[in-house]
Amino acid sequence: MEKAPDIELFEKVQARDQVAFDMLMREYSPELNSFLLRIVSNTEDAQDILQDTFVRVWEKSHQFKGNSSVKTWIFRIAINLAYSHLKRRKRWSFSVLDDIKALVSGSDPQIETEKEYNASLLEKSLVLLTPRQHSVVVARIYQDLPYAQISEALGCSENAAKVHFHEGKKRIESYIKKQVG
Amino acid sequence: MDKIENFISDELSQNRGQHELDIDAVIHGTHKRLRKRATRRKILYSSPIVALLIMMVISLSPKNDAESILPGDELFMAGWEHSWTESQSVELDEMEDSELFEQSVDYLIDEHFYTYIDDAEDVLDDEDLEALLSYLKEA
Repeated sequence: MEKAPDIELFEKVQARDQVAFDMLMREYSPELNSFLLRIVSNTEDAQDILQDTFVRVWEKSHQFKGNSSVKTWIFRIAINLAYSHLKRRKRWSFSVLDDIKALVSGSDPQIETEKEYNASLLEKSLVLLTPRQHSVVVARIYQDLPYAQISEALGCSENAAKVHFHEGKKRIESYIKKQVG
Repeated sequence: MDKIENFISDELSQNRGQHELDIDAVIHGTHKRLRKRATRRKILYSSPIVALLIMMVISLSPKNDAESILPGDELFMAGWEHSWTESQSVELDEMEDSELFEQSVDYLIDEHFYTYIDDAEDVLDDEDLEALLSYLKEA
């Protein structure tokens, strides 16, 4: 049976082939960056975590045992790093900053277009989640990663990941209901 | 997917606020970080004080025992960054406050860098210890 192209590429990375590593980065960067942006909501932070993810991929490639796809394995590393980042970040400071920004610019989400309003609604509701809930919700809904992989990345049980997902979803729902009335 | 999941999915899929990703810059930045980490490790491993500390740790660790694994605590004693994961058996309602600590114990054996990150079982085993010891002796 033929090997999947990403496995072949990854085996080269495991053999310390830098050209293959560059190819791997080219292949996964757009999707990973987009995924990380959903979690950290900041371009610079997302790119910072993206580079750290590849650093880990290179240094730990020997730990890949083929139990999941290469993509899932890489995304697990990314979620773990994004989750650590969320924990470090003082989340309250962002909501305060948003309020200050709104005051200075005079913009009000209520009078923005519906699209912008919905975007702002989700962004604000995500801020209310714990770092773990945030990571699980985005990984599950945006990236469609299985709970087993998410739980491994976050260092919790599969059931705990499910609980975090449902709790996170509940918080988002209740925030939206409150805002929309 | 229910209504709320659809909403989240739709909003997450919007391309708002996304900047053009400069992949070349990502590749360049990643290689730069890798070089920086390698240089830092070289300095660390060539330090006689660190070598002495590692020797102390090795001498403290149990020998000739197939089950013996150098625990994180002992690595910490030698000044290594030490970390751990939360227990998976922890009660769910306690998990909100529990922390997943970043795990990163780096060590070098011959030309290879190993980083203890996920699995406690992956911390230096007897074979690794032996290789590390001979590396240090040579160094």
